[in-house]
Amino acid sequence: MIDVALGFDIGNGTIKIVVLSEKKKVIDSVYLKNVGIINTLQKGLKIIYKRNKNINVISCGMSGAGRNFASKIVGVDILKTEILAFSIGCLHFIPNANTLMDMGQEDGKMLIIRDKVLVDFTMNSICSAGCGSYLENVAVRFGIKIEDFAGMALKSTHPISISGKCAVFGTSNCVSKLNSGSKIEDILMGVSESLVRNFIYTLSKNKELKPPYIFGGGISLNKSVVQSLEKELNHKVIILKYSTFLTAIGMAILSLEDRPKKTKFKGFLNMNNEFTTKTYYGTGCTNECEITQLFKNKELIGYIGNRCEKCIKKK
Amino acid sequence: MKKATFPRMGHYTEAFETLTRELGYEPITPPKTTQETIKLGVKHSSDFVCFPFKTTLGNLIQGLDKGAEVIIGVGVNPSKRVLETCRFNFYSHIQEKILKRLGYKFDMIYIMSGGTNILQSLKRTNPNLSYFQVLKAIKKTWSKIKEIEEREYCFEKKDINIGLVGEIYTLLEQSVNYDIINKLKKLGVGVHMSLTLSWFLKHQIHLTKEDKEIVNEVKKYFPKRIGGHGWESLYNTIYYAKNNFDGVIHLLPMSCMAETLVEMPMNMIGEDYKIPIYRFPIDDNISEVNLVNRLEAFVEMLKRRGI
Repeated sequence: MIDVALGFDIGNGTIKIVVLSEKKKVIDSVYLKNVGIINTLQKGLKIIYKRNKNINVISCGMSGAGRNFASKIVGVDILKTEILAFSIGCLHFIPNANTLMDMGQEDGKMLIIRDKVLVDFTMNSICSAGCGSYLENVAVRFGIKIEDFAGMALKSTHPISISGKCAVFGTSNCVSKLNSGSKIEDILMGVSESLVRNFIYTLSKNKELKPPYIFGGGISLNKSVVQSLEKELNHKVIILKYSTFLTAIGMAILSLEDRPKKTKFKGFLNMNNEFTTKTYYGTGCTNECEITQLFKNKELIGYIGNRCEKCIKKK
Repeated sequence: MKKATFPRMGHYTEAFETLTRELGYEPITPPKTTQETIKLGVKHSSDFVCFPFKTTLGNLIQGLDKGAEVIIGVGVNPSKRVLETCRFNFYSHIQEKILKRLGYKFDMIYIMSGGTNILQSLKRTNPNLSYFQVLKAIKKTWSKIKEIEEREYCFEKKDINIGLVGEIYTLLEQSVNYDIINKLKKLGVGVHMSLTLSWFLKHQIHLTKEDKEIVNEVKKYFPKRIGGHGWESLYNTIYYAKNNFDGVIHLLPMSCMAETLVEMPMNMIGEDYKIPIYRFPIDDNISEVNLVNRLEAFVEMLKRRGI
């Protein structure tokens, strides 16, 4: 049996799970589209269990937007924000990195590191035009697969300038360019460039961007965006082998550093149980919290969404 | 006795209630600001007007629906030449027009309009009101405000300390800022509130004291006092940096003229004084989950910096 740590990153678009050895080497990883947290987690953990029969989980960490809910199903030792987890994951591979960028489906973040310490960060606050869903929107509108996006865009010879401040207007801008006869590849490259511009301009305000740069998250797999980013920064950008798993790896490392005596991880077989949820609105006060209860085999195991304990139903 | 309503302002709503009662009205406190209130306000306001306008309009509608006949509006008489203030000056005037068009019948009193003006409008709706009663009302309200501040905004020093700066309404109305103070306190942070209502009132009659040294330093970044409280945000950021706070959180309603303008000088101050600043622009489409996530990350970062 090998002792391992599990790291989870419950993103808006995808769910990432990594298995990390005690020596912080990645043993296995799973990357699944998030089609419902419960189903996807069940699927992911089953895959890992099937492929690695001889592992013994000693610690487990979770991050990502859906972490509070997912942690109740899986059972985890440590819960942290994706910002911290991402920085730990990056610095594990490139300890002298100074600027970290992460582009996910619904959010983008920029982290400034000096002397191995996170000193500043920004996340997009009110707009998602600097994120993956913008690319998806455009791909859907043009009827192409998101996997083919980069390949087509890289054929472009004269990228077209597309407004990138708003994903909705950006998409309609693309359509009007298409209607006026522009080539699809030029438009797609224009979208990549506008995505990068929006990302850099909104997140890097008053920040000194210094290389080495690390670019992670789902969008780092898109070669046209990487090319645009390198053009905008005028410098090479490092794309790590595990670029989409950096947050999950960071969480696994954090859980190892703060290793519990006995892990709270409920085991792989736990996922064979039937999980269901029920949502209701609290009526105790004017907050009217939206409370979601989680049941395992019809037995209540947890709830989220409540601001206080007043409206918690015990059944 | 006429029934009067007023906009809410977080914990201070109690003090407004006291004031209304002491001035000889039956106070009709609008229900707590919820999504319903915000929806009402957003429905009848322009998209890009600041968020406080929308929520207070929602408050007033809910107050009138509960049977109020008088609105005690907060705002300044625009005929008076006032510097240092922003759109806030005109809130009550526009809100009055909007509400009248919606068919509500009420009398509007502008408090803080200064001098005899306020007494005249009070007399119009409450003819028996005496000067003595007004003085008594002010005194009682003041002690109520003090009591609320001691209860809610008392600063306890912790390992990590954060100063809150920004626009006063978003700082003080906890249903608009998602109760940021208690969220930070839960994360084990000492929270200092830079602007309070008592400060605001004293500031109106020029009774607040300022550190001359800091005032001179602010001048290097920004030439003039602008309001709401953009200038104060700069002042307080420097104040917190000098008093060894670990970080500053800047709250502002989206599109807020003053606070948006001082964003850039404030970032420069953050850089020069080496104090991390995190900024939350607030509007009706901000999600609470995102806010909590960023708060957690900010506090984690400050903790790790200290190690």
